[in-house]
Amino acid sequence: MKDGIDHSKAGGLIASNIAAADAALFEACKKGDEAAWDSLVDRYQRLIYAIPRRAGLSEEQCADVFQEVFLTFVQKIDEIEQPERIRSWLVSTAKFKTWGVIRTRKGIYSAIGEEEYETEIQNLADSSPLAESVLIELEQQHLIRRAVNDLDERCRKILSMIYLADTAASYATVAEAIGVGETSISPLRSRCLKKLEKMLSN
Amino acid sequence: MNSEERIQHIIKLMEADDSIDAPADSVKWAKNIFRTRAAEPKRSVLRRIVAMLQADLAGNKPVFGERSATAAAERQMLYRTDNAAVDIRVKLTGKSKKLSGQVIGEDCENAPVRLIGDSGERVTTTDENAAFEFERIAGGTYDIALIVGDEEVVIEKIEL
Repeated sequence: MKDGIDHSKAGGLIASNIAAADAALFEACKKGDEAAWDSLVDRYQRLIYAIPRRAGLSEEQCADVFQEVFLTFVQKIDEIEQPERIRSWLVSTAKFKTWGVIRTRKGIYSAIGEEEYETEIQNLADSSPLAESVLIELEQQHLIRRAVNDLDERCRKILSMIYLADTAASYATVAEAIGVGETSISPLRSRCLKKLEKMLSN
Repeated sequence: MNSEERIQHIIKLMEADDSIDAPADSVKWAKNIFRTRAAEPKRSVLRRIVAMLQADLAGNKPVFGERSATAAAERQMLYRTDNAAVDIRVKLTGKSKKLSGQVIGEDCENAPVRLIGDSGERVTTTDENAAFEFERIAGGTYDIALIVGDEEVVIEKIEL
């Protein structure tokens, strides 16, 4: 436990249902299903973009990393044998590509092998934006967003407005948006959080 | 961690989530790349063709022996294979360089273009005019790989 946040394996967030849905989409992609690919991109675009962004890369560099990750994904799609691990694969690839940009920015142009690359990344300080704990936190936030998205419409709206919007909405605003009295929001919020917690425990 | 602790943990993560959506054009690109792949033969069956340099025009080329001569600010190169031509332009922008190009050949629109250097690989796609560009490139030696029809055209060892 660090910073009050449990960084152990997915912080206890399991979300096997989300992993299973991803695996199904991935298998469909391998068969050439374009709609499945679009869904996979939609599901992961935010997480992949967050990694170079968290590392402080420019907007243009973030876009480059983002595109490289998806291009590599397309190129390797037939080689990935564990579809339930695509999230880890995408995060690792984004981390590698981001580190590649940072190295160049630092003036390091030497070519190195994959193992040396991995060693360089592992030696990054805990405070580094590419440290394992940071990436796990981003993955956890990704899982939570996915789970919120899979909640019923009312819960999705309540939790999104209170916790995921840039500025947290007041209970009065949320009550108006979902058409209930303001006093109902607190118990509804609690119920929705429990549903979310349950989804992330399965 | 009990249920209440897990809920608090989840709340903390949601409140700390400052991620944003990737730019719409990048998302569109990522979706499109799958269609490009589906429409193309698999990479393993692509024929790899090395393009030959036909012309190398360096603007402001210093005259031999000229004192205080500066390096070329813009350079244009033309590469050819049997089935395609690639026009490459390199422009000095501040301390880095910008490389732009246009491919002339069949089925070369919306195709991936890779710029491969010692420090890694950058990727873009050609637009509807089969043009492409890479900005802020550090000096060094690069290969460029492009897909033209069923060929992977490679331009080797461009010194930037």
